[in-house]
Amino acid sequence: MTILRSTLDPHSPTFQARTRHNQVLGATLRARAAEAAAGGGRAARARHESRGKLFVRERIDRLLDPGSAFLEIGQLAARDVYDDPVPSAGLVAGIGRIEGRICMVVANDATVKGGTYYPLTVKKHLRAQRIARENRLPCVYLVDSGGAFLPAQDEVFPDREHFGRIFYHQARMSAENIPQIAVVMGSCTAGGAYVPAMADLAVIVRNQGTIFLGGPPLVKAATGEVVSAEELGGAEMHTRVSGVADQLADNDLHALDLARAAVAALAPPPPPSPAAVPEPPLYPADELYGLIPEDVREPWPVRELLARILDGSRLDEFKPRFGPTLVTGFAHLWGMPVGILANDGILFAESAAKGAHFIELCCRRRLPLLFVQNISGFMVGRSYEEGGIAKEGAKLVHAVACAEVPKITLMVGGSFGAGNYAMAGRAYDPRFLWAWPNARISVMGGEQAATVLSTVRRDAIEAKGGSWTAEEQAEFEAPIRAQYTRQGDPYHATARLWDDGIIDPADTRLVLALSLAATLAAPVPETRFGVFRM
Amino acid sequence: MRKLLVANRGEIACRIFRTATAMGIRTVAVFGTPDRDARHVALADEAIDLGGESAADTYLSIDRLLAAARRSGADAIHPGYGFLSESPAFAEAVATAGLTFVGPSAVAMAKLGSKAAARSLAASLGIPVVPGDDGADQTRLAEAAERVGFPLLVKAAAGGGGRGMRVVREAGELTELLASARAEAAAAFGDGTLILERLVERPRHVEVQVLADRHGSVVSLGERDCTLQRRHQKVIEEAPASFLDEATRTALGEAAVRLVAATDYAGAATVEFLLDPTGSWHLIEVNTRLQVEHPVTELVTGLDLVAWQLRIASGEPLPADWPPPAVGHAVELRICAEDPAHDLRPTTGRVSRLELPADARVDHGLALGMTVGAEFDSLLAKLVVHGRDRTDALARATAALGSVGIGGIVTNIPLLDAILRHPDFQAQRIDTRWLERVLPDLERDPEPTAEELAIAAAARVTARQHGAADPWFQGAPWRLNLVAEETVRFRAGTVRVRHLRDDVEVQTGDTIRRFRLSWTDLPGEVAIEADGYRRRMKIRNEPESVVLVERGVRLRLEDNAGATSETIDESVVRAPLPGRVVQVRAEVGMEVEKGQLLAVLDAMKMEHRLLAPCAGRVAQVAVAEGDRVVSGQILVELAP
Repeated sequence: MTILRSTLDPHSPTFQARTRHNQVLGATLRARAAEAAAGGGRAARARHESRGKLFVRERIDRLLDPGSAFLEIGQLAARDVYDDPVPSAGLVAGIGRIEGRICMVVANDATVKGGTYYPLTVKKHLRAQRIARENRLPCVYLVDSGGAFLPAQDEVFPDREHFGRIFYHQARMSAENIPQIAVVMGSCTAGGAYVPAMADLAVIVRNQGTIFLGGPPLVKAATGEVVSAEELGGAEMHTRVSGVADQLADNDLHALDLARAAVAALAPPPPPSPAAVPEPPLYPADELYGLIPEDVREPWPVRELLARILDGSRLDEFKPRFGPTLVTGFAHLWGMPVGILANDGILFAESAAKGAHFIELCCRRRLPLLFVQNISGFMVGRSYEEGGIAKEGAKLVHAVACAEVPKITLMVGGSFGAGNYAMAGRAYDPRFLWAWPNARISVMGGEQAATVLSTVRRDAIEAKGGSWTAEEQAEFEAPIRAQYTRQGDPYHATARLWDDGIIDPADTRLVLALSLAATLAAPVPETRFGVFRM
Repeated sequence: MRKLLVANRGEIACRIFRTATAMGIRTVAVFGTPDRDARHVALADEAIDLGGESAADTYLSIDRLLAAARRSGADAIHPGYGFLSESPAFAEAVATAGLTFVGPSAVAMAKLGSKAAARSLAASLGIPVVPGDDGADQTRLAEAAERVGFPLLVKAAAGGGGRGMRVVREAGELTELLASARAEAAAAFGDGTLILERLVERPRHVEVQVLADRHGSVVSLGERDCTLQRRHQKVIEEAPASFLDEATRTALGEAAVRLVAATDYAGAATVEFLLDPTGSWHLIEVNTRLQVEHPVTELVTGLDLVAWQLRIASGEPLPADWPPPAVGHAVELRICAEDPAHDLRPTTGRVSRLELPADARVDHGLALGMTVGAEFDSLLAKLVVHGRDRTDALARATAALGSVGIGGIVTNIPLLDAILRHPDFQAQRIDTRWLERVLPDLERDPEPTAEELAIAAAARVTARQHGAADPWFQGAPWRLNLVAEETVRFRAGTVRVRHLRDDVEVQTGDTIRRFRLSWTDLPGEVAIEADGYRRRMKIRNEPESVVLVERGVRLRLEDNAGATSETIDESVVRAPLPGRVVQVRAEVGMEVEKGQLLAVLDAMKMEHRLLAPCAGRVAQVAVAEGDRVVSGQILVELAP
């Protein structure tokens, strides 16, 4: 097995300049994360805590095993999307260990708009459930929500991937023997009432949790009946009279302990296959800051990245001499075997064919796949079209789409055009998709888009005998570039949940290890490919 | 003597092997099934499975022990303490088998070991004894009790260690307590014979270590103060008894020697005395064996008592220039598997961590991974230190105790620590019942300062094992793009800890402290560095608490007992079915016992008796006789 040797010079001016640049990106990321983690802010939190309730992130801390990592997903969801700030889309979700078991936790943040479901809150909840379902992770819902955000009802209620899908997922997961546990720690109104009602087990906090289809105002409006929230759907009533909830807790801490006990009582998951002893890479992760160029268009050697995340910096390369712009190979990450596909330049027909070949191999061996995306797209031009690059690219896309092994995607630079598809972009259902803060995603680069559109425009004008000055062209192109810059920004992407989160490059190895570990509980079915165009 | 079988287990077996090995004597251990992996089995040159689990089938079985001796070819048997060490039948059987018994002859043992016999012998020698009855007529103990006077002590004639022992304060309690004492004595010693003794109030317990050889030489090696007891179980022992005046000390030593010399005794003996606050004293009993607390005498005299037992058994005479001078002061702490937070009830567990101080003597039978069960007694280890004087010895004991780390089992270490720090103990203001009186106070923790809270919280979370193999557990609880933060909930206050790159930031109330806390190579020792000021501290992480050892501060985590069970009712009584109330017994303000009848409900043609779910006072009666009630309706509310 080859040991990847780094040739980076940490003393070079380029390295130092890049380090400074990327440290700023890292600092920005942490600042934005901290802002999101503060939820509804100091005043809202104080008000929340004055009722004896724990803040959502403290609830999660307590729910998880002491010392357990928490792999948060959609941390920056809804950032700068709505008129009002809705940090983390008012819902904290992620994966951690509870009584040793890897679980998905989905927790409303009542300090953000009362925990109501904005469109992106719904999308995030569904994404968390999808991850849980694909990876067979027990789900614990910490419910404290006023239900759907009514002003946006047309974006949260009627469609397939809207509110109703939450309960659909709960039912299907329960049917698939993926445990569903709900802890009602606040209100749980209307549709939200189905979260505990559909759960396998529901805990409710006395004098704090309420469950009802219609709250007191609605009841009054509908029937004139005047009733308090506690009488209508309090913990006493639901655990004694209605049976909507199963266990009565005295307070948040008690409820979380009961939830932990419920997880402890679950049937144990199948034992994971024995992993190799993890070995740290030979090179420090911090050096990644000196590797990533300031400009996304500038190429950089992906093996330098692999040398900083793989066990012992070792990669057993597959076909290193063929199609070298796609690095493929077998490696271990934190002791777990994984197949690597990493862009090292533009995709050519050979690289695409090699990638498809490698994916077939990994599927046979039931090896999870890690896609490292830094791709401006497939090669274009007459000779390449004649060489059938569309056909070779299709093979790779086909293989990626059909692979049943866990896929994890990491965006470390550009993610443009069909390259995004070929390298397991969001549409190809990777189990997890993480992006670096320097990543850019769009159908093509802003520069290319502006040039393409202005060329079409110029042709049209000139076909009518008109003329187009350079100034006019510049004026035409500027907004296009601006749009692509804005929309290609990773924060724009992550806010819309096009990925599972932006991560600090220095955390890459741990994030990938946690992601990979989270996929291991689910059995891997046999992959069946369709028709490859030969 | 070539090969010595030790008919015992635990620390004393280990202790005897150490000396025997040093003297070039081959060693044989015996064990019961639960002890298969015990340290004494591992330490011995040979070991024989006695093939049983209970004490009766193993360490108390004379037949099996002798068979083991035959099988191993041992030529001598040391009985240790407890078990058969004071059984004349065993001493006799060993001698009959042609083996050397390390101890007195059966005859001498019977004369001194039986309390009744020892008392009459002492009385005949003019040695003061407590008024009592030797229980010659077990059917007339009640009459004897009137003669002895109350309060009095009922004891088993056959044994010690507090078993079969009862305090009877007045005549009315006698019958019941005699019966229970008899049953306990019969179970523990196979002999239910009881004796009576007048109870001395606020006494101190002092005992004299005696050695006698086979040539008629008897010496006193000085006294031990064993006043610190709980329910007649010694907890801390010292040598010498520094509160004694020289005249009393001499008198006790002389009486002890005279008593032992009056029999044909050879070996180690301990003569126990009770001293009352006026300074008068009298004999309690004689132990015809090595005592648990013998090491304190060893440390002040510089002798190896086990070695002398073996030499005496081999017929060697005691040196002519004895006794050797006693130097300094020694203290022994008994570390037991007992839970100080729950009335010292015995605990069990598996030894997951074992750290012992290098600079103190620790006699123990512990091994990593060993299971401590409930089959045998709870003594895990004896920590013994020697100092210039008592103050010095107590300081050393406190320090050494701080370095003891036994993981996996709840121990009485916190209690020992609290006793050592107690002004009454330090100033010798104790008696044999002192510990029972102050125990509730010792269990109360002193108020910690905010700084102590902060340090304890940081120590708690940084002590976590870094599981490099498991990405989910990397020491601090990793959070995506966020500073790892966690909350430690002590009963004394909630602390928030933020893990920075090298430092921790700890918030108590509104105060934030920032320091670096690192665990040093020394077990249980951390280094704390704040603003360029570095200090080392001893910290012990226990399952339910964190102890700042030098400061004597214990911070308990918020009690989670029962937290994983669902909330259960409460102090209200509800109607189990819809029906009619036919009787109401509860009245507001009435004190009720658990299970007391509160109301009767007629429902579904059945009478339902509704009982108090807990003891308390009736706070409200929500119904009257004849009322119709629905299912679940509250009928009576209790207040605690």
